[in-house]
Amino acid sequence: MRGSFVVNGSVREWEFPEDMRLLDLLRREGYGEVKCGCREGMCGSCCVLLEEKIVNSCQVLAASATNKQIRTVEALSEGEEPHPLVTAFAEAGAVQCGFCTPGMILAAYCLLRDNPDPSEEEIKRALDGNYCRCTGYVKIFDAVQRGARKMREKEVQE
Amino acid sequence: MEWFFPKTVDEVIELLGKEDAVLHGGGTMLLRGGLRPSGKMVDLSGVESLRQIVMEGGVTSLGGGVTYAEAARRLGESDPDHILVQSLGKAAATPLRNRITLGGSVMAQPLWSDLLGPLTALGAELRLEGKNSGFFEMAEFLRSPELRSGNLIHSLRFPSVSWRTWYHRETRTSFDYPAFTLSLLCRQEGGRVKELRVVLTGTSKKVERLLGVEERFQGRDAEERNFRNLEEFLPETFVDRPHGSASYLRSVAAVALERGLRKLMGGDAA
Amino acid sequence: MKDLRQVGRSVVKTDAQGLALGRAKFTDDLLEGDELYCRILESPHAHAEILSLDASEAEALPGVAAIFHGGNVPRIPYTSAGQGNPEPSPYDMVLFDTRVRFVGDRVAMVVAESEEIAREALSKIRVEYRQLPANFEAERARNPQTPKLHGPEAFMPIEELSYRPEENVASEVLLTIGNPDGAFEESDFVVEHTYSVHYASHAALEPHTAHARLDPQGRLVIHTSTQVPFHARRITAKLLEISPGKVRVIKPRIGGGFGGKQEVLLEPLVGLAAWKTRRPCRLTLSRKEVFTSARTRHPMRVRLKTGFLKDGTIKAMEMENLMTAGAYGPHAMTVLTVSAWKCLPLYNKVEHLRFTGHTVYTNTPVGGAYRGYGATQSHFATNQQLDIVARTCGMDVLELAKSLHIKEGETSPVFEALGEGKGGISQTITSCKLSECIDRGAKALGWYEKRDKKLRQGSWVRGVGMAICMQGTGLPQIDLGSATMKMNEGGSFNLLVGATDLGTGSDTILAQIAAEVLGISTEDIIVTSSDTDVTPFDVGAYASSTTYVSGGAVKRCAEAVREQICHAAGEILGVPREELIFGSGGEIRHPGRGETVTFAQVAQHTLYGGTLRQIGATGSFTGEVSPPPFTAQFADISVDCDTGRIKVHHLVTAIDCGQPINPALAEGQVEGAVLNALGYALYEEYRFDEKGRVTNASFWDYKVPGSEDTPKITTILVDSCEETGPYGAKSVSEVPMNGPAPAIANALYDAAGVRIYHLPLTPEKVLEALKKEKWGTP
Repeated sequence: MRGSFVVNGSVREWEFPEDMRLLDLLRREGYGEVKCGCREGMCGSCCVLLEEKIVNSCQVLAASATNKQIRTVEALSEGEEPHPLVTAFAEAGAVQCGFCTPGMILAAYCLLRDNPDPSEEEIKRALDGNYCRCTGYVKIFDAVQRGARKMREKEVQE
Repeated sequence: MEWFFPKTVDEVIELLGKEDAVLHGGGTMLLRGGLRPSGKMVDLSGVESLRQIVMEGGVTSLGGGVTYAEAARRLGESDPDHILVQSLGKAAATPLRNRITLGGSVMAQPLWSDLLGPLTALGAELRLEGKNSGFFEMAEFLRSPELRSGNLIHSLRFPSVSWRTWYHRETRTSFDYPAFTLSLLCRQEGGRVKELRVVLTGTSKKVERLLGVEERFQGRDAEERNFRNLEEFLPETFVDRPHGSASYLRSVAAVALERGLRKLMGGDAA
Repeated sequence: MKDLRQVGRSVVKTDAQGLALGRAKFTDDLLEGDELYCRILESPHAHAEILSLDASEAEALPGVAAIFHGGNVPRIPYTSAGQGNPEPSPYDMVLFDTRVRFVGDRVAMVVAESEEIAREALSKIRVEYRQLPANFEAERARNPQTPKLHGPEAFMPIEELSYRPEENVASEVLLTIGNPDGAFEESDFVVEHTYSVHYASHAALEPHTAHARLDPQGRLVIHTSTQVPFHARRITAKLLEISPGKVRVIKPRIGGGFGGKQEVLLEPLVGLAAWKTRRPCRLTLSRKEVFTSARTRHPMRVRLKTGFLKDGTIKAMEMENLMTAGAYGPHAMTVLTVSAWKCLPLYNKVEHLRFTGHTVYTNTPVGGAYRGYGATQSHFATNQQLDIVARTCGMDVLELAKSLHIKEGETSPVFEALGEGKGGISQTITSCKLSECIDRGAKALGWYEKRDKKLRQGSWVRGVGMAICMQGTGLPQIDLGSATMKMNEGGSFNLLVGATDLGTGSDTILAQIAAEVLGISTEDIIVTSSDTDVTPFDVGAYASSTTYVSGGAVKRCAEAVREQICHAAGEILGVPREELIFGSGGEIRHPGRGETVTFAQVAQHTLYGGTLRQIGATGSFTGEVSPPPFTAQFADISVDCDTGRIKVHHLVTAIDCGQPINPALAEGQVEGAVLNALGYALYEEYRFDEKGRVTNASFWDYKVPGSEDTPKITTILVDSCEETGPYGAKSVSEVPMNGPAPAIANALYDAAGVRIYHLPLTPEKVLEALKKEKWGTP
């Protein structure tokens, strides 16, 4: 079947099998930042924003995402400037192997969008669908706080 | 395999009339097990009327297409302790809660559901459209497999009563399906228990109301409340799970039940 | 070892931003366009002979390019273990066998135009099995009637190492020092317990994956998620019967390893597929396949007998380890050896010691390298036993630990007696701040406010526990690391290292070491790693060797380059090299004349303007010793006496890893290991049915810690300096894995008076123990 998607702001028209998962379609079309870790909706490496809500793309049939807005971690950074969360994760030492990072950053982004000054409990809850096996989450929580501060400062400046 | 994108409930019903029509809400039940989707996929995400959340006339009505996240958020705005906020707000994990729909969840009736217990406790009714249009009580729906085909869960509704609530889901880690759930709803009037509802899910009977517990506490004052030997009221229908053996789960359920009841009725902390 | 400018700084990882942007490439991200997809047919039986295999119907499917199986692939015995050559692991496998030995064992491989076609073809392969009796219990493996998994075809490539497949024994390690039996007689107390630890999955988020293609010259180029690119090259070449020079292995970014990718699993498969079909071939395991058919932690039963005096002096220790290899024996001997080598020396004052170790074959998933590598298993036992000794003597376990652990200047006969393939090495401890670790960790936890207090809150009772741990730092005379540097115009440098960055940050810390030597910033060091064509040899990321061994090579290499730079600067200024001082910021100074030469000028001089040559060098390093890092790890928990649930409040690790090259990255290693160990202690486990099938091969039922399961985690890097390590460094990544589980078990005893000897500490197990303790019966 053919379908139209808006991915990271661009309209994309793709031909794909009716039973293809959004994860596989995005990866086929070069969106390598969307990772495949388990295919069961458990690990969170495949997370994308579907109509600005974070979802496991491995649990979404591509056909049901047609004519919808999809954003990956790439969409957060505009032009040359990385998103404050991207910088925060790098600076805080929250990126070890990096496989969970795109999904984790999207989860943090969704949290901060609705709650710019979250508590540690709220951070943990927002990230509850994103596994990390490398960091023990410690520096990831730091990174979210750091990113939140950066974003609040940016808000003030703008 | 073919996809259809209806915009109205009438269009959905028409599609339901076709052979191998498959209603697709969030799709997570389909995909989690690696099942191959097939047949005529009816995508419900474009049917706005299935996404309504209405609270008026003493009734709360949630559309079948409402996700766990939406339900928890909206209900939480007016009542943070609402039992559905506690259960749906903690079921699965954030990305899955954005995808699992109420209708899809009720239709699939997984053994580990966080939705069936609270809905049963709330006395929820399902509004079906299709082969069997009309309102059905949860219990009736759960025991009637023929209602699951040819029908769309349009919405579910329950009285907008202000309950004192307590919810327990027995898990190994935080992101885990429950081995069992306990939903407790309580209303008191002048220090007396006006109404108590106790629903247990996760046993081999899927959903069980613990009427014995309800009877013991209904109508009782504070001094008359007996929190001892509650284990007697627990059924023998627990099953072995990865979380623990049936007998272990039963004993933990007894502990959870006692703690919940004490908390709800302002009894001493256990 | 102070006055450091680059080493000791928490420099941001060189690849962090690329990874966070999602732009860095992992193996499965490489898309050529005309790949073939591989899928593996796995055995449904725990033990069976393949009587016949008919792939004709599958081969006839349109889009199927090739099918490989025992009937058309040569039988070349090997081990998948990513170790040096010859490997100290039995050669008990072939690529495709005619016998299967566990559920999930490899039967055949389909190579097809798409995943869907490959899967369909799998279902059309007709295999006739003759099922054989299977054994799943390590305890029964050596019984004469128990079915034997391996026959005379299997052998140990290093002849001196014990190997008795006719008894299902994949390895035997024996050691006696002194006269333990006599010493037990003379002890005031003798305590004996049997502990056990279980199967676990690394659960690295990126599944195993490899991609192979032929380059225009007909060489095989393999991109793979591996910890051991050079071993992968050698073993793949051997199995394809081509020279290693015909194979290039490249590691792009990898999504975690933890030992699970210290194994040559997929490379020979995609290599074979690409070599025969002449097209690019790729294989990514499903999560289920990673659980069942990749590698795991080795389960181990540890029987520990300790004889001690009233004052806490331990007179004798007897450790008997029974380790489960699973169906094949990679790392069977080395993990077993490490359970002694990287544990017993902690207790060096124990004069009488007996170690009896056996690794046995069972028809179950295959064990491999897993962070801690045997030490994790034995530390679970020794640390609970230490707690028992202290309590029996009425002593403070912290004081006891401080008095008996190995100290600087001391040695242990165990070091010399056991080795991982070669003989052991004698070594003296040159850095050990374990006592300080104990003190600082205890303070951070609030030990004395909680120990023995059994503070209650409702049905919850609180307790604290401690563990002391060691590991190793590289394999002396076995692990080789090397580095090549060249100077570029403008004064930047390429640093080529074989070392493998798993996300650990080795690229970054190696750059820091080079930058420290040269007095420049890491921004001027461009690291290329893990490409067997381009980077010099390195055994890979295991045995906690990268910082020490690869780092040692980088230091040597950079020092050689520094000399060449000075020499060239001398040419520019027309002065002897001895009159020059190597400054910082990329400058060489002549103090007498007050003149400086910049790196950029040196580059210009040597590449273009003056005496022309490429400034560059290659440095190699292997350790003479393996200086242990040490940890004191603490757990603060509460247990719900009505349900058996353990809640962990705080996990503290105080670590002596020598001079951390990058403190933030070192902390990150500790934090990751600690949370992994928490999962292992409480809820990670493999579940099997009566036919030997794994029933929970999925994150749905194999539970790993998520964000809401994290306790407070505190890491203390104590001040230490290891004189044999680059800038004083030792290893950091494995040792913190060893402490949390025994610390939690000790804390449980402190809280509730029950001791559990078998992991994981599930609520049901704990409740049963509590009931038994309270009522006498469960």
